[in-house]
Amino acid sequence: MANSVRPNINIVIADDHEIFRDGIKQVFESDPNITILDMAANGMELIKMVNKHQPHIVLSDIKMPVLDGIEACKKIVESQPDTQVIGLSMFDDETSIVDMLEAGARGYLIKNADKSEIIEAIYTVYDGDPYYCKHSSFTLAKMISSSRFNPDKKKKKVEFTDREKEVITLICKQYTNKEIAEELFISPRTVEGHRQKIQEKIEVKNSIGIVIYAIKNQLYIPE
Amino acid sequence: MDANEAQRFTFVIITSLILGVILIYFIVSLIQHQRRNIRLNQEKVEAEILALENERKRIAADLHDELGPTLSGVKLILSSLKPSTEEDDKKLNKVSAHIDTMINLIRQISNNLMPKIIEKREIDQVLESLINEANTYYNLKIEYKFDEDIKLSPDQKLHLYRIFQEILHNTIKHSEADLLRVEMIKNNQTVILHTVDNGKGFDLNGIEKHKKGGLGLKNLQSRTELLKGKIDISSKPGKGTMMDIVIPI
Repeated sequence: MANSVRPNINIVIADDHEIFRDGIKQVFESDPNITILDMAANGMELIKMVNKHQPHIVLSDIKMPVLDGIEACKKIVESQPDTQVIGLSMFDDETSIVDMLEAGARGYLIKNADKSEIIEAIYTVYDGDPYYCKHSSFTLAKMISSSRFNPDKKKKKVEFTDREKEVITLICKQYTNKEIAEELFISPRTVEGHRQKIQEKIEVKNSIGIVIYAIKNQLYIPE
Repeated sequence: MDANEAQRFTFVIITSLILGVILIYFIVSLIQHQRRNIRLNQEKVEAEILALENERKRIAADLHDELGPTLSGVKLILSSLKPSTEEDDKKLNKVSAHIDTMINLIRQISNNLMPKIIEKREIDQVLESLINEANTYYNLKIEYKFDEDIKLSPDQKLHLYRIFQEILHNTIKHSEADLLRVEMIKNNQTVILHTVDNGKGFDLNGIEKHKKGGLGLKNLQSRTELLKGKIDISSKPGKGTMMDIVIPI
């Protein structure tokens, strides 16, 4: 993905911790396609910067002084609908993540995500797909899927084979590749193949994306 | 009875009346004083508990909201380094993994101080999380049944959580029980938390005299009083322990 020719992606960052902003800045310096236009320390500053620069992507902390990321996100979605927001949170703040997605964010990242994951999130959301952080828990996936967040509405209906449907159900039940393989009498490699295929079909990057899609589209009904 | 004697009689009556009034006044104010002392003492304990909880909340938030992001920032800066040797690369990965461990520790510590779940979920799920944790780590079977739709305020949830935590702690540490039954029942105006274990029980009178051993029980009482509730503990050596905590809603 990084090899293909890409236009420059302009981003604005918001976080109240200078050291975290500094860290993010270092991460993007290694990617020539991503330019940081500005950095805000709170939601109020962020809104002003977004209106001024009209960036492609905003990477915003959720918990901030003056105005938090959720309120800022609502305002940005309203005034700059072409700007996509990605929420940033500490790993266990599940309700805030759901609030952020309901406010209009297209994806979220956990703050201790790796460099490669942060860059992947930017590209995914830039391409118009939702981004779910790899570190997410299943509880969070269930919370997101039952929330008002609905990233799939524009997509055309996807058809799955019977085997794929079985794999999806088992993924939603938190089975590992090995466990799915044992359950369906196939090799773990084949399971991985199915998993990849499913992810391609619904344009998500990980199991969390599959779970959210499955519950939203009633392929799986949680107990 | 001559006039003199009558006068003396009246004098005695009046004097004893006055003395009686003084005595009654004295007794009444003594009782009032004692009651006020008990109330003040109780208020002091309640204030201490509230201060303790506020402090815990503050420390947990500082750890989680300040130290966490700072460490994440450090990790990101490290990850932007370009090590020139394979050995340096390995070292860098190691340091990065250590930072992840620290971030997880911070989360655990802050969650122990002030569990996030209390803010986010209803009391049945909050207590369930404690039960699941105990079921995984200790050799105690916990059976529980909670009424649906029990809704408590955040403060009520916090105190009931701490009460149940204390009961669990006592059961695990002292009772030698292998089964604990927990029920939470909702009536019109009250919520009842009922627990029974099959442990060795204890002598209630004995433990109240014993200064340190009674601390846990005092804590239970103070928390219950904070909730304007009533606690009923019954236990006998060899007969297990039963507790009923009734709080108004």
